[in-house]
Amino acid sequence: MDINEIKLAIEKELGACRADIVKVVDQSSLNDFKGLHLGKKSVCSALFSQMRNVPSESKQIVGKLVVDLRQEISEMFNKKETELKNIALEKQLQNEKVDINLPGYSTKLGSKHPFFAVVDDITDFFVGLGYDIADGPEVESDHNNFEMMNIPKDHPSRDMQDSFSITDELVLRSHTSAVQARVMAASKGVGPIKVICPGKVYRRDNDATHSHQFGQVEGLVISEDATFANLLETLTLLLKHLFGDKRKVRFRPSYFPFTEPSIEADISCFECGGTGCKFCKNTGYIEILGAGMVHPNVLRLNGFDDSKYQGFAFGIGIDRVAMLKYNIDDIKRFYTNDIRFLSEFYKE
Amino acid sequence: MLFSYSLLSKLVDLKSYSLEDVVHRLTFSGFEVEDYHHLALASKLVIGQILSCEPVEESDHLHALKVDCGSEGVLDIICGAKNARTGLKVIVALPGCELKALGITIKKGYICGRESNGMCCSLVELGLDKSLLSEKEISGIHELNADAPVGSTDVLNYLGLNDQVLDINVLPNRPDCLSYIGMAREISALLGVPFKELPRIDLHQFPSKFILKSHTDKCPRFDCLGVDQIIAKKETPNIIKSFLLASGIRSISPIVDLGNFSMLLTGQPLNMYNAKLNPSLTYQVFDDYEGMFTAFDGKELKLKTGDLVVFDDKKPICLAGILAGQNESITDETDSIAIEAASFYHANIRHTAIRLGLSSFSQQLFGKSRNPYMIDEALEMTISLLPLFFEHYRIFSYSTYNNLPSKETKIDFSLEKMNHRLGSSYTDSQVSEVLKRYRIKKEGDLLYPPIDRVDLKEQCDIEEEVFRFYDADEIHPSLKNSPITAGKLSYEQKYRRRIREFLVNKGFNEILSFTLIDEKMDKDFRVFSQEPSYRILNPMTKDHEYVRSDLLASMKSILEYNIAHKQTDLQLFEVSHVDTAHGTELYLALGLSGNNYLTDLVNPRPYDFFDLKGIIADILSLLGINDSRYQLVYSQNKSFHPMNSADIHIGKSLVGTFGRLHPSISKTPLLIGELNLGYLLSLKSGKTKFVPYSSYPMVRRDLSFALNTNVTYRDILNVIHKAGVSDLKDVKLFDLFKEKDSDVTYIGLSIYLGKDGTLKEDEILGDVNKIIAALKDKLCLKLRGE
Repeated sequence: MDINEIKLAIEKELGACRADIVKVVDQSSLNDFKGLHLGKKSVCSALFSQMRNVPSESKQIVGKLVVDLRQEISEMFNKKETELKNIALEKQLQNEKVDINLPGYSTKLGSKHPFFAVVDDITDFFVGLGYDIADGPEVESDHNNFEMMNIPKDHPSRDMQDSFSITDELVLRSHTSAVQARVMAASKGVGPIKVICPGKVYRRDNDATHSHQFGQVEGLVISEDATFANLLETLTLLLKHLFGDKRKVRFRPSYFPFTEPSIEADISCFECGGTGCKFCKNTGYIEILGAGMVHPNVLRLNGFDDSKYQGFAFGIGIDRVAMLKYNIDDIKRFYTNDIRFLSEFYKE
Repeated sequence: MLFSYSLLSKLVDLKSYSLEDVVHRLTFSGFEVEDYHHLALASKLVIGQILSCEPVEESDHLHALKVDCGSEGVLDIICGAKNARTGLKVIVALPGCELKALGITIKKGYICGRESNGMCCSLVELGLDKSLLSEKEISGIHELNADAPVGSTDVLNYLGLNDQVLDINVLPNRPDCLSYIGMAREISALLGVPFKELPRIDLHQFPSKFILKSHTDKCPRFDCLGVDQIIAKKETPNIIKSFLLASGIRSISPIVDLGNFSMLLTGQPLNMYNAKLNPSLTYQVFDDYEGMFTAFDGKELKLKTGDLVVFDDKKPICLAGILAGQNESITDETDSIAIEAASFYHANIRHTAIRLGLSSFSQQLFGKSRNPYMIDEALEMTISLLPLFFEHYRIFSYSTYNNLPSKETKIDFSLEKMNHRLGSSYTDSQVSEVLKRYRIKKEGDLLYPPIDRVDLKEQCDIEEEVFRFYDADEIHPSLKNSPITAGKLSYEQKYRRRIREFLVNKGFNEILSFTLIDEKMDKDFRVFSQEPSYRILNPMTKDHEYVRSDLLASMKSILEYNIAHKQTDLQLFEVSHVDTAHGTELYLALGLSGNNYLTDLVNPRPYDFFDLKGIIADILSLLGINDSRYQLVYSQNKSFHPMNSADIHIGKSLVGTFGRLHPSISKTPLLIGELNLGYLLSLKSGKTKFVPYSSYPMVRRDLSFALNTNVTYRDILNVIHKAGVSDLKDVKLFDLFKEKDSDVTYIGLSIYLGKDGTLKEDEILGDVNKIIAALKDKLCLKLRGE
């Protein structure tokens, strides 16, 4: 065969390939195409076998022409093969379509009780400030609950905290200060102490705003240098942490038997922001906690040398914080545990 | 305590201050003013006199009045009051008058077709509290004295009702301020305005004729002032009546009002005896009388040791500080009295009053701690009040029984110490100003507080005075010098939190229930302690009488509450301390009801025993307690379904019980469990340490066996683990099923084998055959299809 005949045959084969590849629609016709144009009986193969008849001076040129032909047909084939794979994949993907709006297999979120969400929040805040957390029994001795807190029997301020008695010497603790007495006893007169005591407390009190059971977090710091200024800053930080930086905090002198000087802290009203409304009884502020410098008598009673040590203490109502923070209308909701109430606190 | 602002203004000069200023100063100095309001509030009032009073024919109770209102003219007024009558002087509310108490404005109008140009008022309509008025004053229009100036429009002032009432929260450390004198002294100090001393009359000019004695240290002081030849005024002066009203006290008669008014002013409760009934003039106090006592109202009271009782020379005549005995009442005719001013120990008075269910105003006063050193001042002032109430009188005696130790308080004070403790920078002159204002004498470093201030005892009391006198902003909040410590949660606290958060993440809702429960709940559901629970001596209701020893009764009642409210799919938990006679325990309660939606949204299945078991196993493994460390046995607890519940034991200790409640206890299939979390947290578990795993993949072989009825899963595991297969890594349950039309249950187990190398097929076969043989041998289990 001379070179022109070969060229002609190549052209012809290419034309046939172009015509055939268009007809390929699936894997089987693609296989047919491969057999016909790239197989042993293909024009390409025939041309290769005729290479030996080509005069040696033309061999290089002809060889290249045939190789190019094979290359071109292979590309045609590969391109088609990829095309078919993509179509098949696309089809498979379409078949696997789901309605993404159907509900997921969700573990429904549970929830912390808002009371404990507040306890956890306050706990974390104070751990950050270097405090430890102390627990203690709720059935407590009169001694720890009252006497060690500078409230001897017949002290008028026992009226402020009408407690539940179990025996003459046992009460349900009326404040978590009882735990502080235990902490002080355990430290045997050696400071520093930095502790908070969260927990349930009980008083004979029951009306729209009070429950006979409620929660308190009390804090106690005793060292050689802890000051009233430290207390004011600690409380300011706490209240801003709990209620937001926008809340204004103010302090009023007050009285507690275990602290002196004593204060109460108010925060600006949530409803009116401080201008006065029904919610805050027109004062613009809401009473939120009580605190003060540990009374030297409490230090002495609990085995600390009051000429060396001083400290501060504070107490905040957990239910009250939760009610303000989450806009809860009635303290009784905490103890009813309606699932519709509980579920609302899933984020906490 | 309620204070009349106009009476306070008479005791301390408040001209340059507004009421709001005073309220603010008090509130920010430790005397929170909880409320303040007008005693009576109405405009457009006039004093009128009824010229004629005719019944209205169309009505059974209305009268048509013609009322002379001075310059307002003679007005036609239709009035429904029974006591309306010709000649009576009345308070007339003219058209336009706003009566805040009733929320109405008076208008001209027609009643039964007749014109009415105003309204005759009672004191209730002017805003006075009914509890402070007599029946007569409440039921009819107010009757003015015959000398009332007709036509005067300054009615509230005429009545002495143009006043404001301050409700001040006096805290227990300041008993001195439970009196007008004390409060006025406080305001005088706070504002720096003069306090106007009341005139005092020397007591010792009068002869001592009483025989006074106290047989108890609970009454260290007992004074009597004898007044006879009394001709009381017909009425207590209006101004005093209104001071009493503003202070929340009803005016009764001049002689009673004298006692109350003096008590308000001085804070010293007074008691009056009819001196004619006790010619011996002996008054003595006992605290060991056991017997009956007839009260003034005829009520018989049983007294016992500890009750303070005043005797004459023979018999009890008064329950000290609480109430008078029979025949001892003071009446309008009484013309000879012994005025007692004594110091009774407040707690005895309070205990007696509470025990006998008695409450009186003086008990409320005596029941609080009082300053016994103020008795002289109180009686000296009382004498100066006598002419306000009596037309004629004579003081015939003053005697005192005084067993009080002499008192002088010295306080060693250091400014430096104060600034160190408060983190403040108060100056010497700031402190001096406070000392001066509060009448605290200073000699060197020693301070001498005045006798009326029982609360000033040591350095910190002075610090409080300084702090509350100045603005709180004087102290700059700062953490400077605060001790630096490493705060942390203890192991127990950390894991308590982890378990709670694990449960929340598993979809559980945390609950918070009452510690105090009723008797029935206390008897139900005891898992750990069968001992009697603590019982409250003074419960508020029977519902909250016992300190719970267990959490499950509360859990059950909360599940049931929600189910009753159509909320049936529940996963609840509670972690709580429980106090029993053995000490404090920490328990975890779990409760499940309704359906588990987790695995299939469309076909949820009811929660069962294994939901609860899975959660509990997870909790235990979270604490490092794996299943080889505990055993389950069918629960012995009678409250649980005997075939569908388990007790968990670690060694010999019961650490938990869970499962379905017994059908006789709950018809709804509730799943409930309780763990002794405190105990579990106290168990030691190994430290987490990495153990390198084999990099060769494990081989899994699945085997199915026909189950015998008596074989438990635990038996099967035990046999497999003891079959001597050293390559055994794990066994997992993959199926539990029955074939159609067969009673045989098959169990499908996945056996995982592995070693540090590739297991060859014959090794695997050998291992599997060993297991099959062991199960056949020990438990008679046959392979499925064998």
